Amino acid sequence: MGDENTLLDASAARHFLRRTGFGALPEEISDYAGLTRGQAADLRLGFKRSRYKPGSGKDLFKVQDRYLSFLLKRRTPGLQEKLTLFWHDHFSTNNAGVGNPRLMSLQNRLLRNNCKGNFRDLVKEIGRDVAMVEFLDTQDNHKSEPNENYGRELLELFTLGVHDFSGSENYRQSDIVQIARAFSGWRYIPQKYKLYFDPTQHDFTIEFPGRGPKTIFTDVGGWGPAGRSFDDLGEGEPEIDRVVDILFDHTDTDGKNTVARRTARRLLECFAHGGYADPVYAQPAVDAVIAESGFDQHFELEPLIRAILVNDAFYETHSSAPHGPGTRKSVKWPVDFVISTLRMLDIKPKKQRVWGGSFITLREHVARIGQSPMEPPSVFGWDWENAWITTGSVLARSAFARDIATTRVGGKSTRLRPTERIDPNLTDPGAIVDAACEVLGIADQLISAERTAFIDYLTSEGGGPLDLQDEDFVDRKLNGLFGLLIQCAAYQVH
Amino acid sequence: MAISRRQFLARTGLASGSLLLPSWLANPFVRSAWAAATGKSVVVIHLNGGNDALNTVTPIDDGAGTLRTDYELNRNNLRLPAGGLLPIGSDANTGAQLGLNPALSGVKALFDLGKCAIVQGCGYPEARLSHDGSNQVWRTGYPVNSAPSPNGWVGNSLIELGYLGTDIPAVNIGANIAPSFRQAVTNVLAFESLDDFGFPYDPDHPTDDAAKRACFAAQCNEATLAGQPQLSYFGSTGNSALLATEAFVESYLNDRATWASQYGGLGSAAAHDLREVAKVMYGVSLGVPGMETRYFQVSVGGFDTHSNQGAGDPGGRHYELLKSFGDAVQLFYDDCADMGIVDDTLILVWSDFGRRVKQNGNGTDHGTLGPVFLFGGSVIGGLYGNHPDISPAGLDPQGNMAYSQAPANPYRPTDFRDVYGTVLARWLCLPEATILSQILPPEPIGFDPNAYWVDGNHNFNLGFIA
Repeated sequence: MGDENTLLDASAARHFLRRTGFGALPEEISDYAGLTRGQAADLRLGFKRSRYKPGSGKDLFKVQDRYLSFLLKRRTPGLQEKLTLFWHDHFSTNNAGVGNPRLMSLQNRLLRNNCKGNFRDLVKEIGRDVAMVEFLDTQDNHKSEPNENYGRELLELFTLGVHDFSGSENYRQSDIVQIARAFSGWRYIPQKYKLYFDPTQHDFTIEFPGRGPKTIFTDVGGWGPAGRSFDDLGEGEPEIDRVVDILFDHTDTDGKNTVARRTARRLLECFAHGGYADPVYAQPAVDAVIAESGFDQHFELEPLIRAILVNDAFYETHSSAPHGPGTRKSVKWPVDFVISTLRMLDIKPKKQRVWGGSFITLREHVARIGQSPMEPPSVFGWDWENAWITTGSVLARSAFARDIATTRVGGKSTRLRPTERIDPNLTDPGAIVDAACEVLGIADQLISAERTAFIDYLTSEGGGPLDLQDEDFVDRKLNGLFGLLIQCAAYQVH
Repeated sequence: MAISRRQFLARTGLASGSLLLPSWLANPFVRSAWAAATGKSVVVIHLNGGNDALNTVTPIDDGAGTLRTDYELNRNNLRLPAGGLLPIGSDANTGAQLGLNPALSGVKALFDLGKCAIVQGCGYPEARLSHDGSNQVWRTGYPVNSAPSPNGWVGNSLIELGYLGTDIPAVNIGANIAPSFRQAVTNVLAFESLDDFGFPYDPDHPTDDAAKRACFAAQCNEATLAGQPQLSYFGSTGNSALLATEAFVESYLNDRATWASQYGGLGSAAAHDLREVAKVMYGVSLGVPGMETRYFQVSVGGFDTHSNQGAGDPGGRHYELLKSFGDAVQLFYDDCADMGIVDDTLILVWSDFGRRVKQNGNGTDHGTLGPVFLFGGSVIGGLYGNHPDISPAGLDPQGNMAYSQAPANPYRPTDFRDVYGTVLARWLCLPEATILSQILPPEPIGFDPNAYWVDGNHNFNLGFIA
């Protein structure tokens, strides 16, 4: 049990860094070791608001390439990017539906710029985001037959969720139908990407009296049979922000703020582990971080994230081997797996490409492993935790490991240089395995039988001391060892 | 990501099975006596996003009812002209002539051969209008009861069929394991292309391959045994992947000369995926050691046509979606015939839901009932079930086709569990009692038999399989 004054040792600092960024480098670990949880959280959250966007071209691949390169840059704040990727999953939008990489890039900037800002503002902004307007058909929301696509996902995925923590429904189909009316008439001019309101395409009550008053949540949300009206500040343009304001006032059957609880739960699920998918498991920590941050009062994300980063929940997956059935771990997202590996090994892809094995780009690697940025599979985003692991994705993770371990062309910086990272005078196979594990941050994660398997690999060509000065041995076996470690189960979780 | 689905995944534990081998050297591919005895395959195709049923099987005329009139009332710029529809006979209830969307010439050809069954108006009580919710129903087989586990209906069937952790009975074409196939007893492989499906060794040092293989397998085995959920899952999946790459490579070598031009010529994702299925089925049919896979899953995306749906002309969104599906299915059927396995192959096509009867501006919102297609050499082709009632009085309060089980309802829809149940009982020969207790349980006692699929309402012999 700890709190914000608990001191981080080197191991806890490594955990903190890799969960709030992409891998932990030795110099970063020494910066954070000795800080309290609270100091570490403040330091990590101290990045300035960024307006970076990954290009403005028409080529999706270039936008994805630039995005991944940006993640690899030393000066890019890791937590900013973890949050941006989280919001990309939350407000899942794909170029297959939008058909315009420039809009995807602009949405990426919006998410980055607001990644630790006010969540209510972010939800309002995303409803006006042109990529989203295109993706979920606000552009095609006509007053004659209001299109329900955005309204449904706004409730189900972006704010309330279908059920509250007690399993009760948070809204009804009729609420979606009404909310669809609010979003009718919002349009953008192609090529200009600027949203505007077209009152001639908006559903005004006077024109459609049969659709009833613009009232929602007459039997959920804590307002009783009167419900809440979203045209009380005037019909037309103000309605969409009013809808969002009402959603953020919605309380669940426990009388708690529905959006605050769901958002905190999802952040915990991302930054701690998949156990937080279960509301029963999640509730104590969720209510604690909301109480500490006052998130349900102001919806400012930064204090909420800080409260999570000093909570024991965030440190639940920080544990050493052996791990048993009750140990909590989280599977590294594919982008995290690729970017953190390259960062920790100081490998710089040239022309976005890894120069060994399959000779494919980082973009192709992350896509094969199951997470193509700007192309999440659907509005539901990616499936996390064990869903990242399939026979296909295991082989794709292995292929990435193999590719970086077998890069023999390109400049020095494109290659794995193991003897720069570990002492070339080591001769004991166990010591070599331990040193390689230290570089990859899994020194305390292997059980002895696993460690033995790697020692057996190193010594499979006969006994005797090993020679790390022998270039051929390094090329064949030491690189091979790194490849196998990156493929191993312990390296896939954090 | 909806809470319900995330919970669903979190509780899944082992989706592709726990390969707790005492030794990874043990032969992992014990033949299932049952599968070897009958040799039947099932290919499940999901039209992902919710296919617009009304513009797939469309009334040509009113017959003795009002279907075409109601259709034209609800569909204006999305309306398929009666003259362009591909006739497939008349609806038993209303007598209305029905036709397929003009994009479905491939399906029409198989229908005319007598090898395509179309079960109209399939659905379930308490319709869920979200993709997530409705897919979960179709995938688990539990619309009203809450499912006791996150297993899929095919997954539960694999368990009842007796597959073990040493078998690989199923392959999903795609990055992920389809939730319909989820269970924790046997193995489901997922890959997008079989030719990417090899274990990645160092090409410059092949003499080191055996040592790498031994190390990878040993650490997977240790991770599996440790029992920590994520590590164990990764370990068992890693072992399955390794072993499968070694078993499945032969079928790729047997890739038939005609496939590149045939499937490649269609150029669609559906054709690509069905070619991957054909590769595995071909390997199985040749008796490649270690290949006993009989269950396949393919997903064809893009059917969530809220906007720009298009009507019946080439180039329209829905038209092109249906065309790529129909052409690929026709080719796959012909290919199975050519391989001599078509009589042992059943293709089942489902979708999240049908779409709203009344169109929105130029698309359609989420709806309820829709047709299930079945293809195969042993399928008794024809129209089954009733066309849903789309008259204003027949719709539910949301404007969707209504579900009921009342025997007196002339438009009575078909519960999707009767379609699954017919496949399980008639094709896979599972006992009805097993299906009802383990795979597709009826609604509990006390539910209105006119509104729900209670015990006694089931019909696992719809007729499309002898």
